[in-house]
Amino acid sequence: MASSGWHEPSNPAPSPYAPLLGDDDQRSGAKAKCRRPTKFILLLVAGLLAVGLLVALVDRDGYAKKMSSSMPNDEATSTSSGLQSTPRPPEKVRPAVARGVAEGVSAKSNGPFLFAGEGTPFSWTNQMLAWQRTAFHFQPRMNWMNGPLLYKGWYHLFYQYNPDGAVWGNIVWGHAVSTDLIHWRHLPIAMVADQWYDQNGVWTGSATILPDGQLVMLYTGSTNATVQVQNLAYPADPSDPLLIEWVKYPGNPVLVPPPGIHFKDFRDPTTAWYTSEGKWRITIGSKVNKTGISLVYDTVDFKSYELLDGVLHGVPGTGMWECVDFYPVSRTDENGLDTSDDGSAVKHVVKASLDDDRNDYYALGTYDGVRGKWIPDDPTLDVGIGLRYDYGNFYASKTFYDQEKRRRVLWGWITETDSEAADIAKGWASLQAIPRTVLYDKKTGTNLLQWPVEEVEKLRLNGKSFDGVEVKPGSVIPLDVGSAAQLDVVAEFEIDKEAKEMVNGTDAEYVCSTSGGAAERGALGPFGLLVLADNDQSEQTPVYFYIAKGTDGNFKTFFCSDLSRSSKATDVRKGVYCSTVPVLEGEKLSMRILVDHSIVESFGQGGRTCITSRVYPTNSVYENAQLFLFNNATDAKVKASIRAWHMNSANIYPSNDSMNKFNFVVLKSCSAIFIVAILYGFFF
Amino acid sequence: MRSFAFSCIVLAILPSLSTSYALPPLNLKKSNHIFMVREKVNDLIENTCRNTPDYQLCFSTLLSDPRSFDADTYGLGLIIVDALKDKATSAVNAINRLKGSNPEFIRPLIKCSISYNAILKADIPEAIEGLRKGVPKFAEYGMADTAVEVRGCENSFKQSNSPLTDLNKQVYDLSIVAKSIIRMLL
Repeated sequence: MASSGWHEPSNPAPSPYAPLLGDDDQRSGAKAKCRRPTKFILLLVAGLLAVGLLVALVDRDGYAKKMSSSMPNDEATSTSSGLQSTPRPPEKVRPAVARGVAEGVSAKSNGPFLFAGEGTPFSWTNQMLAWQRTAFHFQPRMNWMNGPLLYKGWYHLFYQYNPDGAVWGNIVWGHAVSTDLIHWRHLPIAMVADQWYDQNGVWTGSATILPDGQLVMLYTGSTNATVQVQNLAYPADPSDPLLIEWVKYPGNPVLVPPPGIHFKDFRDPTTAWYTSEGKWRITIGSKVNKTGISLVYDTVDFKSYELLDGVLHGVPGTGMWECVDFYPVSRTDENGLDTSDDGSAVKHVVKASLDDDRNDYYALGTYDGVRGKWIPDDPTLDVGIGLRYDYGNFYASKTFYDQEKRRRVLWGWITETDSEAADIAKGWASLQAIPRTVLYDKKTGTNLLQWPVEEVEKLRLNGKSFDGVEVKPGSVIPLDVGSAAQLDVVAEFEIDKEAKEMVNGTDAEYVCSTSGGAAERGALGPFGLLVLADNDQSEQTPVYFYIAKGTDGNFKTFFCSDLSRSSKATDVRKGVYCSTVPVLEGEKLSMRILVDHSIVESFGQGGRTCITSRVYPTNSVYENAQLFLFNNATDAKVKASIRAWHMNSANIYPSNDSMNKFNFVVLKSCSAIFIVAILYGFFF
Repeated sequence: MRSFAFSCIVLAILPSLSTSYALPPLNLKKSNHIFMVREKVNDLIENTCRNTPDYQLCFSTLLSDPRSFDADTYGLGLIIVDALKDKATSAVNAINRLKGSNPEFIRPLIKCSISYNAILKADIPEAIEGLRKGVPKFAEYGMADTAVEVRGCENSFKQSNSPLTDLNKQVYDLSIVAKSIIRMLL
């Protein structure tokens, strides 16, 4: 399969990507010469550089051609999707199966096997597939989450990578670095499966930075007998800020499954935290029958460990706990905390990725450092049965502490929800959400707040405001924002107060997964935005609020993302995602949406409730993708204020093709020097 | 000294005692092969298949593979996936034959080639990896997608005159059984 290089269309703008040596060096580099060069020499230099530019450009095109020809050319058809088949009497009715898993998301688009009548056969074109690639999200071929960290000024992302294909398998550690969490440069693979103790997979791990600056990495290996063990690794050269080479501790594995734990239920060690007894402590998820648990180990040297009695916590019925994360949040301050922080002004979060339903759950609680146990604030909202980081597609996430900016940053892995055949055709699968800061919500005291890192705002261009727009019940208003496939939108809504008072409450529950999505009209909702919608909204992805009023006069607000009409394709997941979102007295309803081609990340009430969706439109692509404001409530008008920015691309470069990289470097330097030379020639 | 010798002898005999337990009884009068096989079938296969949507298919597929007698649930899942792989390979062969013999079907057959390519190159290897390495959710992805791909192939024939219906259905049914076994591991 060809490498996952992707190129910007012909116009290469100067890259915002910081060069290897960092900003400081770049700024101090150029010093004005006293003597002016002659114009002749200048033009000669410019001419030579122009030749260099041409060479690089031409070769780049050649590379681009090689890329597109290596993508398997779809069937001869690219247009008509054929006639509707007539249904034939089924011999045996099978239950509907959606790709993926029972997530409480309705699988409306899929029917029983022999009912051919549920849709016209659908064919993806290369154009539609190529559009799906995102512009400012991190996405190599195939990836999961590993040990993100900040070291010597660089953010490092180590991710689970399959070099051989667009599905999970042959897992090694991919590696990428960034100075700003947005612009990434791919580095060579950090660790491969070259030892007996990780021969079947170099899986998820976590990094711990010791007080003296030393970095240790604990990761799960799948041994040659497919037993899950924990291994220690560290940088070969700690003075290398790019951490390119890694060394595995010769005494690996440092931990093997303890008695009573199945050898296939022991993975994903956490970042360590310092205990009051001067030891390092980690936790590892597992299960006993159907009870998800988190084992606790103490160590002083990361080489030998002591298993504590009992578990940090466990919740019956939740199944295997993967990618457990454990960290403190401040109850009072607006900054993140180091993993070892503790005290009365601190709450601790336990998070688990549930193997069972592919969702990430978290709970707030109190940690007892002496006994190594944690209890939730609210047992009815315990880990795995309560709150989720994200009510859409978001898994295997983990946080790290950014000690420079004093923030806790959350990474999440977003899978594809289209067909494998489409993934093979487009040559890549899955990506990372935009990193989010995590804070305790002081106003509600019951949940966390997630918000895209501020660096993503650097990509904003051409902001447009729409203030105080009145949206009557049952109306759709186009918002002229230009190209709407790469957007950052912030919107505030005020619903008509009188309508809220007058409407009769109902006892009927609003159940997201069985609701009609944005098409189901209630008295006080739904209202919000339509993203990735085409002109006549034949394809649309509503992100909206729905206010339900109970017979007791109390309101419940739901924040939702409706994929049921997001695409005409029949082989993509099209459910409705939603959750209740806490809204306090006097608060307006607010949402923020990041649209980046086939991913839509939405944040309700400042990040109290988040929903990430994968969207695969067939028509709402390229210039057809637009943004609309809508109000589908029956009884209430809504006033909306919106700000929308077009988002620049982040130019994330693959390292697979070194020739391409060379060309790109040549291209950039040539253009820059060329332009400067010409300008200098003009002015002097 | 005596107790030591005694323990040694007991320990030496024990292994041979346990092996003989596994051998089939030699003086069994009934010659009905099926009956003998039924007696050997352990509870795991029966219970596993009982919890799938197609007991018959599950049971017969597992019984016809001798590896099933010593397998754990992961192993049983792998056997079903193997059977699915065989059927999918047959489907690919059928598709290639039909491309030559029935050119009027070329468009849906190309679509089916793409679908079965995804099944054989991505879904099945992913399912095998997931089951072998104890990360069943990837196996579930693989089997769920197999169902989607098969239906895509079947539905690409208009007027329900697909020449691949039987094979498609067999692959589909096996994917459902595999998926339900995998669910038991989560």
